[in-house]
Amino acid sequence: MIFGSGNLQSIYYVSGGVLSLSVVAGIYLSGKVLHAKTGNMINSGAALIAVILSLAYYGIITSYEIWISLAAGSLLGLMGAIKIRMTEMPQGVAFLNGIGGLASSFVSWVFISGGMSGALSGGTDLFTLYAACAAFCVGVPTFTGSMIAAARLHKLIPQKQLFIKAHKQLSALMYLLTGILFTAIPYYVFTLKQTTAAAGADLPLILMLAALSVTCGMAGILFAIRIGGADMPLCISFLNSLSGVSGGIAGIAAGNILLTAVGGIVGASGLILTRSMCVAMNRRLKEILIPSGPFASLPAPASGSNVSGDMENSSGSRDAQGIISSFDPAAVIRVAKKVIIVPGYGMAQAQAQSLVRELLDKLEQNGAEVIFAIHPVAGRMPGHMNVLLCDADIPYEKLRDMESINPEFKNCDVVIIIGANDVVNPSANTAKGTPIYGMPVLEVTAAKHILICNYDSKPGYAGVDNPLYRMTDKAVLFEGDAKESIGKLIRMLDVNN
Amino acid sequence: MENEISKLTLVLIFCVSAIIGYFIISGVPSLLHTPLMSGMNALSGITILGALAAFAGTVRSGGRILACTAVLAATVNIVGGFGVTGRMLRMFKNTRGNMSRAGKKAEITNSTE
Repeated sequence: MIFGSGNLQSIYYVSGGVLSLSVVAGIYLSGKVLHAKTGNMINSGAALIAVILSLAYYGIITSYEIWISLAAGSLLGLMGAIKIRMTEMPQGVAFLNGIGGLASSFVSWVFISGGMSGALSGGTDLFTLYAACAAFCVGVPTFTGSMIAAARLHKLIPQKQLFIKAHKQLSALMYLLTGILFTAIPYYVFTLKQTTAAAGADLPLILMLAALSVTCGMAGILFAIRIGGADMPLCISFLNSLSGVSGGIAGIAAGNILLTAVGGIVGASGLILTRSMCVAMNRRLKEILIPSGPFASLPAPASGSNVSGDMENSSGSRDAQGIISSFDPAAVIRVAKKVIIVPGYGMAQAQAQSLVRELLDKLEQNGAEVIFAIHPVAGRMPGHMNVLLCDADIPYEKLRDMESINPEFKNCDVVIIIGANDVVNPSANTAKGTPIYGMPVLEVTAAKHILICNYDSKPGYAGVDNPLYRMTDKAVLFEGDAKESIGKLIRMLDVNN
Repeated sequence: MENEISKLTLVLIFCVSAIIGYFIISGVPSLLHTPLMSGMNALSGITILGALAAFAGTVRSGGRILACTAVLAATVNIVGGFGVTGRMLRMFKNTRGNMSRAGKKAEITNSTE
C-alpha cells in the first residue's frame, strides 16, 4: 500500500500545515469572549476537513467499517453533548478526555503490533516504534486516570482522596516496570521485523503490550485516586495535558503534521491551566507527580493553633432564625449600594444558581450595583463557576476574577458568601504552617459587612478554621441549605418594597 | 522516502506548537477556562487521524478492529467535545443580550481586564 505518491502527498502535507495554522487561529479566538464561538466553529471545521482529507489520502473513503465507526461516534458524542447538565461538565470533560486517551493508546497499539505495511511513514523504523510506544505509555494512564476522576466527580466513588499502603512504592514499581517494557517492546518489534515477515500476530509481543497496559494503567489509577474531590481542577487540567501529549506523540509516529501540532498545543494549554490551578490552590506540580504522601496531607484542624476557634461561644447568640449576628442583616442589605457575591462549590451543590439570579435581580431593583467574585478554584474544574452562573442567565460581565476584584472589596457595602469557605479564609494570609498559608484568597474582610450562607461553620476542605465566622461585628452566618438562606435574603429585600 | 516528512521535523513541529500554545493560552481570561479546556479536549480527539492512518496501514484484522474502535472513541471525543463547548459558549450572554458589536466591546474591556 502506497499513500499519496507525488502530488497527493504534497497536497496532504500542505493542507496539514494550513489546518494547523487555522487551529492556532481558532484557539486564539477561543480565548476572546466575543469571538469564542467563532473559534470553536473554526476548530471543529478544521477537524472535519482533516478527517475528510485523511479518508481520501489513506484511500479508505469507501471502507464501510470506518463510516460505521464515524456515524456511531458522532451519534454518541452528540447525544452526550445535548444531554449533559452544566453542573456535570467536569465529569463530562474528564470522561471525554479519557476516551481520547483510549483512542490514542489503541492507535499506538496498532502502530506497534498491527503489522503495519512499510510504506506508512516508514512505520517500521525504531524511532517510530519508540514514538508509538511512548504515546501508548501516556495514553493508557490518561484513560484510567480520567475514568477515576470522572467517577469521583460523578460521585460513583468516595470524594475523599485514597492513599493506600505502600502507595509510593507501588507507584515507583509501576513506573519502573513501565520503563523496562517501554525500552524493550520497540526494540523487540524492530528485531522481529528484521528476521521475520510482518504478517502473523506475535504472542510474546501481545503479552508484553498487555503487561505494559497494566503497569501504566495502574500508574494512572494510583495517580488519580489520591486526589480528592476539591482538588479535581488540578487533576483534570493535568490529564487534559496528558491526552494532548499522547495524541501529539502518536502524530509523530503516524507522520501527521496536524495531529502533532494540535497535540503540542493541547499539551501546553493543559500544563498552563494546571500551573495556574496549582498557584490558586497553593500546591506544587511536584506534589501531583510524585506521591510522597497522601496528596494534600492536611494537618488536623487543631494544628493551626493560632486560629483555633471557639465555635460554641459564638453559636450562643443566635436568634430565632438561627442567625448569629450583632447587627441587623436586613437593614444592611436594604441600603447597600455596592454588593459583591462570592459563590463557591457549596452553591452548586445546593443547586442554588437560579435563586442567586433572583437575589441579583432583587438587589438591582433595590438600586444596588452587584458583581460576582470568582476564585480560580471555585468549582470542580478551571472556570467552572463562570459556566454555572452563565447557565443561570447571569451576564458574564458581572463575573470578575480574583485579581481584578480584590481591590474593590474595600468600596463594597456587603459581601454575600454562598457556599465558599477556604477561598475567603483570611487565615491564608496569617496562619503559618496550615495548608492554605500563602494561598491567594478573596479579601472579603475589607468590606463593611459580610453575610455568609454556608451549610455550617465547620472548617472547609483544607481543614483550617475560618475566623470570618467570629467577626460578629461585621459578619453574619446563615447556617443551613444555601437555597433557604438565599430565600431569607430575598424576603428581607421584599419587605422593603 | 524522500517525499516523506522527516521525524525530526515532526518533533520540531511538536515543540514549536507547544510554545505557540503556551503563549496563546496564557492570555485567556479565567472566565473562559472551562470552554477552553473542553475545546482543547475536543481538539485532542484529532488523534482520529492517527486512527485512520492505523486502519489504512495495518494488515491484520485485529489491527483493523482496534483502529475502528479508536475511530469510534475519537469521534465521540471530537463531536461531544465541540458540542458541549458550543453549548457553553452560547450561554455566555451580557446584560443587554444581543448588542451591537461596538457596544459589546465596551462592555468587555470592563469585564475581562
